[in-house]
Order: sequence, then C-alpha cells, then structure tokens
Amino acid sequence: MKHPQFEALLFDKAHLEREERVALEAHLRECEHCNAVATAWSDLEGKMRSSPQVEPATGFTERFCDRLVVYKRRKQERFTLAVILAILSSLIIVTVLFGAELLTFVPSAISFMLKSINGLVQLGGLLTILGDFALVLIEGITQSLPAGLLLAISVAASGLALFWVFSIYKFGFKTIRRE
Amino acid sequence: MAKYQRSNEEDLWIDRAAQGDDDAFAQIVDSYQIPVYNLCYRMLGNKEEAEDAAQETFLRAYRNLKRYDPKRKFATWLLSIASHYCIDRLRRRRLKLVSLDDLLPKRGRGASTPGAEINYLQREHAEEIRSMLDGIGEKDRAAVILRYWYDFSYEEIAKSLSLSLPAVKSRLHRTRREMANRWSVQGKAFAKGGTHDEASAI
Repeated sequence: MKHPQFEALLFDKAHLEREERVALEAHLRECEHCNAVATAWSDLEGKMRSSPQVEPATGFTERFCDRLVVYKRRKQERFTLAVILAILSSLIIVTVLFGAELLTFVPSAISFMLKSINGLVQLGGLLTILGDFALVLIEGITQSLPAGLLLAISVAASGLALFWVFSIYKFGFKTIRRE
Repeated sequence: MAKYQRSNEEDLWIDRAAQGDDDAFAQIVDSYQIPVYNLCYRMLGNKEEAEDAAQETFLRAYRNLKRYDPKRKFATWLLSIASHYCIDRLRRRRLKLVSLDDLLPKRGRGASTPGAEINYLQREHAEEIRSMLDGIGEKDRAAVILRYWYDFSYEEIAKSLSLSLPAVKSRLHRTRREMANRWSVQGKAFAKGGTHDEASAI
C-alpha cells in the first residue's frame, strides 16, 4: 500500500479490519509523514468530539414564537393582497373581453329601471286608495254600533294585545327550560 | 445517529404540529433548539447569525412539516434543513466578500484569575476548532460537523446534503487530510510561541 491508502485507513480507524489495523500500525512506525498526519488528526478529532454543544441564549423558543406570529401576519397580508389583485385583474380582464358586449345591455337596463320605478309609483297610489277606503269603513262601523259594544270590543282587543305581548316576552326572549 | 432518537411523545407533537397546533411545534423547537443552534454556530462561526439561522431553520421546518416523511428521523430532517440553509448563507456571505476575520470576536488577553484562565483556554480551544472549520468549503464543513458533532453515518450525510455516498467519502477524506495538515502546521507554529494569526498565515 502507498501513503494515500494508509491515509484513508487512518481517518477511519474505528471501522478497520484486523489486518488493516496491523498494516497501518506497521506503516506508522516506519513513515514519519503518515505518523505526523495520524497524530494531528487524532488530536483534532479528539478536540472536535469533546467540544461541547453551543447553546442559544435563554428564551429561544419565545423568540421563535414571536417570529412565527410575524410570519403568519405577513402571510395573511400577502394573501389579502393577492385576493384583491386577483379580483381587480379579473374585473379588468372581464371589462376588456366583454366590455363592448356589456355596453349593448345598458339601454335595455335603463328602460327596465324606469319601468320598475313607474310600477312602484302606481303601487303606492293603489295603497293610498286602500288606506282611505279602510278609514271610511272604520268610521261607518263606529258610528253605527252602540257605545257599550264598542267599549267591550276595545277592552277585548286590548286584552288580546297584552296577551300577545306577554307570550312574545315569555317564549321569544326567555329560554324555555328543558325538563 | 444515536444522539437524537425520536420518542413517542415527539411523534405526537409532530403529528399535532402538522395539523396546525403551534404549541406542539413550540415543544419541538424547545427540544431541538440546542442541536440546531450548535450546527448553525459551527457552520457560521457567529452567535447572532447562528441565532437567526436556527430561527429560520425552524420556520422552514414549520412551513414544510406536511412534507416531512415520518420514516425519516426527525432530527436528521431538521439538521438537513439547517445545513442547507447555512451553506446558502455562507455562499451569499462569500459573494458579499465579507471578511471572516471581522466576524470573529476579539480575544481577551491578560486573564488574571484561575476562572478567567480556564475560560480563556476554553475560548482558545473553541477558536482553534473554529479556525479549522472556517478554512474549509461550505459542504465539506457541513459534512465534518454532521460527522463529528452529530455522529451521522456516511449515508445520513449523503442524504442530508444531497450528495452521493462516494462523494461524501471523497469529500470527507480530502477535508480530513487538509485539516490534519493544517492542524499539524498550526501546532508547530504554536510550539514556537506564535499566535493564531501567525499560524493562519502559515
């Protein structure tokens, strides 16, 4: 064997076969160069292996948790920004692609809106007429009925209203107790 | 790698953390902060950078926890992330042409008490090792650290550093020979009464 082969052996002393170990030891007795390398490596390896683990400053985990919070917040911000950009870009794309076609719908949309407003106005007029009719009807009934009956109807209506309010309070706002 | 065997409790933490439980991940950080920080410190040779790199390693692990293969040892996976990150960082540092000498803390001199003397010797010892590690390439340095501080097998080193097995063996052999030669030269320089700087210059 030559120097490089012995060097390969001396860096892996722990895994040598018996014959390899004997050959290496014999070589080291004769070869000053390999012996110097072996001594230096043995010294250095011993120092590396005995060198203690360096520990971080106290509170490493807490500092990491703070960093994690910052990371998550930034991630959320990036996500929000990405969503906004996606929506804006989608709108721009839709406008660019279908803008011309959308413009053709504008006149019919305006006429639909005008028709709807007209319908609402007509509905309001109809409701006003119905209200006037109901008032005339109530006035006619109250004038034709005797005072005692009117009082009895008022009391009964008030009682029903009170009972209605009480039932709402009882079952609407208070929880029903389960047996 | 017998130093960091995974327990059932850790399996549980990993499962829970993968499902989004941050407290479980904090437990993982608590358990592995020392090996991860130590690796970053040995790679970068600077406490502030090591702290930042270790924190970044855990953040990367957090982000990629769903991709973690439970068949693999968790410590190996975590240290592999740390190694890759530190290698990238060293490459960026080299590109920025930052002098490593600036990153080394100034050595105290004239220790007068026995305690201070011991501390000085420990620092001296640590500095000797660091100067040895600083002198080798990023991947070679990672391979040496994983081998001699974490007892990684050649296969584990290969997997962690994305290298082939023969490449790991060849790199480690070359690096060890280089380090032994430099150590031998430094030893002679110290024996003649020189300093680290003089030894490095040699």
